[in-house]
Amino acid sequence: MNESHKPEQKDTLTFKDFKTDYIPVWCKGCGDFGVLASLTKACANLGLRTENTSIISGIGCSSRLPAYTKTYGFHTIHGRALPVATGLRVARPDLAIFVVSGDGDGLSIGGNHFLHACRRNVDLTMIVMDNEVYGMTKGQASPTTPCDWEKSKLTPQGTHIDPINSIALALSAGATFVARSFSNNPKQLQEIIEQAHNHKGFAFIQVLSPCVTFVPEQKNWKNIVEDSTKPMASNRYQALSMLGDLGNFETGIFLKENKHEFFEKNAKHTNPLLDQSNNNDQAIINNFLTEFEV
Amino acid sequence: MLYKTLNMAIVGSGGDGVISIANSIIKYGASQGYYGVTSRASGPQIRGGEVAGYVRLSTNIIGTPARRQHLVVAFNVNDIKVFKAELVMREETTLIYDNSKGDIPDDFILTAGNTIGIPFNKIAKSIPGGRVNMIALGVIASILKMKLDVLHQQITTQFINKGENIVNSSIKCLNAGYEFLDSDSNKSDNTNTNKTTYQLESVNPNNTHKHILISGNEASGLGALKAGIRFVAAYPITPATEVLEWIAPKIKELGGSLVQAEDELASIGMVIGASFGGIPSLTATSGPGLSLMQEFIGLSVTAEVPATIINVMRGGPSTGIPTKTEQSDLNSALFGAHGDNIKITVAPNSIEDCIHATQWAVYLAEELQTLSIVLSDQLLGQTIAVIDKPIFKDYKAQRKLYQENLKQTYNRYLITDDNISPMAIPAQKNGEYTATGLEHLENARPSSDPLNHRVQLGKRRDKIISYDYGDYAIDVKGSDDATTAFICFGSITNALYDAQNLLAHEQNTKIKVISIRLLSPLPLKLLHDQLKNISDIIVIEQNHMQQLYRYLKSFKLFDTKNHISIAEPGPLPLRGIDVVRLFNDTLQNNHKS
Ligand SMILES: Cc1ncc(C[n+]2csc(CCOP(=O)(O)OP(=O)(O)O)c2C)c(N)n1
Ligand code: SF4
Ligand SMILES: [Mg+2]
Repeated sequence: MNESHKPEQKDTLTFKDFKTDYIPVWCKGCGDFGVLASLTKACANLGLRTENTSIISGIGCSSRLPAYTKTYGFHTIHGRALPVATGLRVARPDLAIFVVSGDGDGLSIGGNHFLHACRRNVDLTMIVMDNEVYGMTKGQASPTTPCDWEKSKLTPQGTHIDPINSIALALSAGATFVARSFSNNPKQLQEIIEQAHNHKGFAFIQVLSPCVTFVPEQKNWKNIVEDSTKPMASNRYQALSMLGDLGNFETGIFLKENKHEFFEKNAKHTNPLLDQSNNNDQAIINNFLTEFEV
Repeated sequence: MLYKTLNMAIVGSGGDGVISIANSIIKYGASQGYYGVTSRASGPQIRGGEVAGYVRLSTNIIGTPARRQHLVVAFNVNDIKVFKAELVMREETTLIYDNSKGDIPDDFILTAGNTIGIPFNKIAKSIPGGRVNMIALGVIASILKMKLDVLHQQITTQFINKGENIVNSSIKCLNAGYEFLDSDSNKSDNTNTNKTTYQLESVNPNNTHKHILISGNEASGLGALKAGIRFVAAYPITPATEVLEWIAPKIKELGGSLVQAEDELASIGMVIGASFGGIPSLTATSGPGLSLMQEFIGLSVTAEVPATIINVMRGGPSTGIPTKTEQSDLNSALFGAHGDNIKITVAPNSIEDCIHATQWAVYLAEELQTLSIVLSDQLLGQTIAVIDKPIFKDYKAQRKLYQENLKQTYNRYLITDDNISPMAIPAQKNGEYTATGLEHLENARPSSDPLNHRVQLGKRRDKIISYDYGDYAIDVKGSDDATTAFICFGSITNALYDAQNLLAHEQNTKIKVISIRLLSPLPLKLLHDQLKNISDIIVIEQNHMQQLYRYLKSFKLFDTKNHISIAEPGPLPLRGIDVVRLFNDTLQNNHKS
């Protein structure tokens, strides 16, 4: 790695300090570039430090993102970013943690973890780059694909299944911050990521992020995406009640709710790796053994 | 009569308090200096069905529960039928049953030498707040000649929190049961009250070793915390749940946490996430859960993020026999997960060893930055035993950590002399990297370069196979001049020691028992050394497909020697006499062929 990418431990970092020189594998024009840009800008603007930030992903084009940042990261396995991030969150309350995922990764194979991360209200920010398709495996239907999309060899007549509304799913599962944005609207996306990070609890952001290769029609999204005029709700039933009127291309923050977060009151972890001579712990454990005496 | 070892079974339905009787007896025995084990078995129903509590008390350390019983107490004789394979009554047995609602049904085949009817229910009803289990405990106490004052004390301590009334009624019931068989007024024509007493020999007064009463699952939990585990995530499953139940409150005292995950994929995922964050982490499960964890196991191995799985084996495959024991997850542990991956597999071979082996497994995962599996099983995990208070071993989680250096580029997967790369943990400056399950270069960036793939595969293998595991990798018992060896692993080791004794005394056959604690990577040098003077090898294991035998054979460990496999599936615990019988049968068949 060349000199310019070594953090000089500057007081303030710019978005460039959050990027590596590693060239993304993404196709030219892929929406995920926009997400990378807004995320790194949000990190810089939030005053985060690269060493105190972790970005966790699963598998997919979108899940390649962590390697393009200069933070700690974990590119895990398909669908499982949330459990890994949850473990990291409980073990390390001090870190800023972002989960980046795709519509397949986060809502299909990882769907169960998504429900449970929402209902735990675990303090994480999850960004799902939704292109309504499995990009990485070359264009199959995902849970958010429209039911009449006939371009996949696996479902040439369309899926005939209604797509998941991920906003509705997040709301009903108990996420406390729910928003939608667009990869081509960098300012809004950055701002929403910042607010999501500052929110205590599980923050879900659906980011419309076109797959220009397998669904080129999505290039048209920039003409139909609009800012939502609906008021932001402060509890999930309020938010759910306005869902019927919410268009699929309306963006904004739909819910911000105050609720206790997962492991909020958890004591600070002692770390035996860093504190090898913690005699207090040894005394406690010796006492555990004594408790078995008869 | 005086006995060195006494075996008893208490059988009833949920609600009869069968397990509490077994626990009271073993507690009493422990307080009097005896060793012992208790285990439980249940019928197919989850709650309210038939339950058997087994207790074995002895003047010596014992490992396996017995099948032939001296004393059987049944609240309803028909319940015994559910356990007929594991609860055997013979001439020396006294069977006591509740005859409140009538006599033994005609279709019940009596095999016990002595059968006594006692109206537990009627007696309990005559005492305000009376409970049948306390009456039964009193009867057992009189038959075993237990000290009544000690029992009174024990019961008082046990129930004092529930109020004085409970204590008083319990003691009344206990006394009523205790006196019943000795009181002439209880003798009537249709009630046989021929009391036989069974008494244990006194314990060796020179044995002043402190004893503990512990289950294998608790012992595994204890070893895990001792090794430095401070994060646990898991999904409940029989017979592993007690590991978690014990750890949950304890890990809090140490500033750690336990999370109940939504499934086993999430449990191992959370564990790997916490470990990536620098906290030694573990999960516990059983076969079905281990199957679900396989993809994550590959990630832990490839991304080199330490993690430990305690797998408490039960009868398999599929849902199998969830409440009973078997050693059939060996292949799953050794060969699970796709691609070329090697990991650590450790098998505790006694309840005490559940502490040490688990501690060791955590230590090895951390030291070698890989995944380790502890292969315990239902028999070890759910048996509660009185054992000598152990002394902890020194194994403590240690990771080769990255030392902050702002001047140098950090390479997460750096090739080093021992192939272990310094690991940065989040918040360390200039250590930022993205851990990945994609094949990667030393600097952690994904790569499909063929040469690099070989280099990284070799690194991950060599760090594990070239490590010096020391003598703890196997246990060997038996004289050096033996030419026959039993090779085994895990919970059946104790039965093999019993068989070794029986064969020495009854058939004048000397056997060396080799119990392999480190199943992966196999300690080949130690094994070759131990097999030098051996001409006949018998590999004994508790599964159907000769998993250990085939594994050892693949290393050409005994190609030049006579070797046979004894592979007996669960679910019944193997005992010394079973091993002797299987050994003799196998020899005979071999001679015939
Ligand atoms: C267990 C498993 N099953 C299947 C795959 C193959 N696979 C890789 S990415 C992917 C879909 C990704 O879709 P999405 O999450 O929407 O990401 P995108 O590529 O569209 O950004 C699939 C099916 C895999 N890697 N692992
Ligand atoms: S295939 Fe689609 S999602 Fe993947 S990089 Fe290309 S444009 Fe982006
Ligand atoms: Mg997609």
